[in-house]
Amino acid sequence: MILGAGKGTRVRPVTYTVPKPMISLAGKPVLEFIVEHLVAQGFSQIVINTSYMADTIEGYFRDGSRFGADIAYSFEGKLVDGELQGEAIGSAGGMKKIQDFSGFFDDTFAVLCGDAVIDVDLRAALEFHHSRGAVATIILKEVEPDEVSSYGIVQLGDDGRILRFQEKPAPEEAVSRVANTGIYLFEPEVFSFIPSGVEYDIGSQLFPALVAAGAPLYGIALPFTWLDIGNVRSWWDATRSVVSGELAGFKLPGRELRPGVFCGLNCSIDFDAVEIAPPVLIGGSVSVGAGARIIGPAVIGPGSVIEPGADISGCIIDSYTRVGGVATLEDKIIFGNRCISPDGVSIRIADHDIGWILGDAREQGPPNPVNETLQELANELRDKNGSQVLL
Amino acid sequence: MSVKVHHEAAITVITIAGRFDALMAKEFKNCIADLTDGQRTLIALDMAAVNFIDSSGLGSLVGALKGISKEKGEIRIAGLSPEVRTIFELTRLHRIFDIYENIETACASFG
Repeated sequence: MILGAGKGTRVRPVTYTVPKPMISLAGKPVLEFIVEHLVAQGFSQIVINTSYMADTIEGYFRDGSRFGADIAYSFEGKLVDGELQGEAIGSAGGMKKIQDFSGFFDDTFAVLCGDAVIDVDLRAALEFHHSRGAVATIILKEVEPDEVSSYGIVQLGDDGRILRFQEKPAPEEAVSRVANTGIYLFEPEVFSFIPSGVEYDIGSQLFPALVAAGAPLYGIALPFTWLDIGNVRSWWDATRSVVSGELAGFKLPGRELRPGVFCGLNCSIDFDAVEIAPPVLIGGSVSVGAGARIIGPAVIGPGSVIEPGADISGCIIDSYTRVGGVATLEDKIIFGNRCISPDGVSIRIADHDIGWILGDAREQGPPNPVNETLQELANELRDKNGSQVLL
Repeated sequence: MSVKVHHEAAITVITIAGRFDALMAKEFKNCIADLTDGQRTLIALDMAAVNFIDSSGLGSLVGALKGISKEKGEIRIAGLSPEVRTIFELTRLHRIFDIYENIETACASFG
């Protein structure tokens, strides 16, 4: 089961446009990475619970056959006056709903959060899980000492039995450095601990219930890549990591036209007239004008137009974005008609009437006198190599 | 919406509050014109209470900079909110204007 029903509130404003599992890394939804990994590990029968923007997920994956999987969905919500309204019932509540509906979980099963790219060895985890006779096993990962306050931390006994949970402890109070990754293995017996028809959460309710009952709850710390999209900054960090080639086994899309610079088809770029420093991923049908500057790690979405003179560094830019010639974008995410900083500061571009800076590449923007003034100033800036403008 | 002016020795402090849009831009332009006529061309602009700026606001700032500079004066800006700062960075105005954390440091910078 993949948990895909959450609203992704901590990744707003990105999740005003897409549900969190469909946020892309280098052009590929996080959920697609997860499905592919599960299939490669032998977990090809997958139910995804959906709620918020369910259509986006269900329309992309459909029956899963395109991905070598069998996929079905458990929608949590209702149709009211022709509109789908999500009604999430918690991670364990979602599991129970599926089990009550069809008894789908008739053997050992995995439950994963739909918001982190992973390459964990699930077979090794399964072996451990069975060897301990566990009813539930949490897959854990060691994190840096100064990162423990971002995670649910777990204390293990010598045999891997879980002794204690700590939610986001201060570093000096943490009982360990192994964090809950939101990847679980369960036996069907676990459902006797989950009530039907109520909101129920795995971490805050099911696990304490298992501990209280003395049920065999275990944890195993494994080394693996875990790119979690918990907030805007972690999405930005994860994208930079993927574009830099740090995700083992992931081949960046497009053709490598220059070392570390990958381009899709139908791009209009004179590499002798622009400055592009890797790693950069450019989608199909992109135009980059002479004198533009793109410094990686950067992603330029398909159909985008980077006008002559634009200055872009460390950015994720959505498809069909026009970046004007006097624009300077440094460490920004342009997505869903917003300019978002990794620390979460966000502006709606249309509200500020700066269409000559950022807009939709398919739109002919109206002329704006401020544009001409700034263009003059930008020309002077360029001639003086960035020194103060003399007017 | 308001543009307030007070003088501290040779420096004029202009304080703007609210939305720096077309209406505010007009008031600001008039204010700059008055100051230029009165030979008061060392200006510290306090934008700590500005919660929004659009192209009209940007245009009036750039126009003010050009006009004041012709008179050998200076405009220094203080107190940008994170959102307004983003607009300045996108449009490269952060390279054109001297920007300070608060009005006190902006005024002190005139020496």
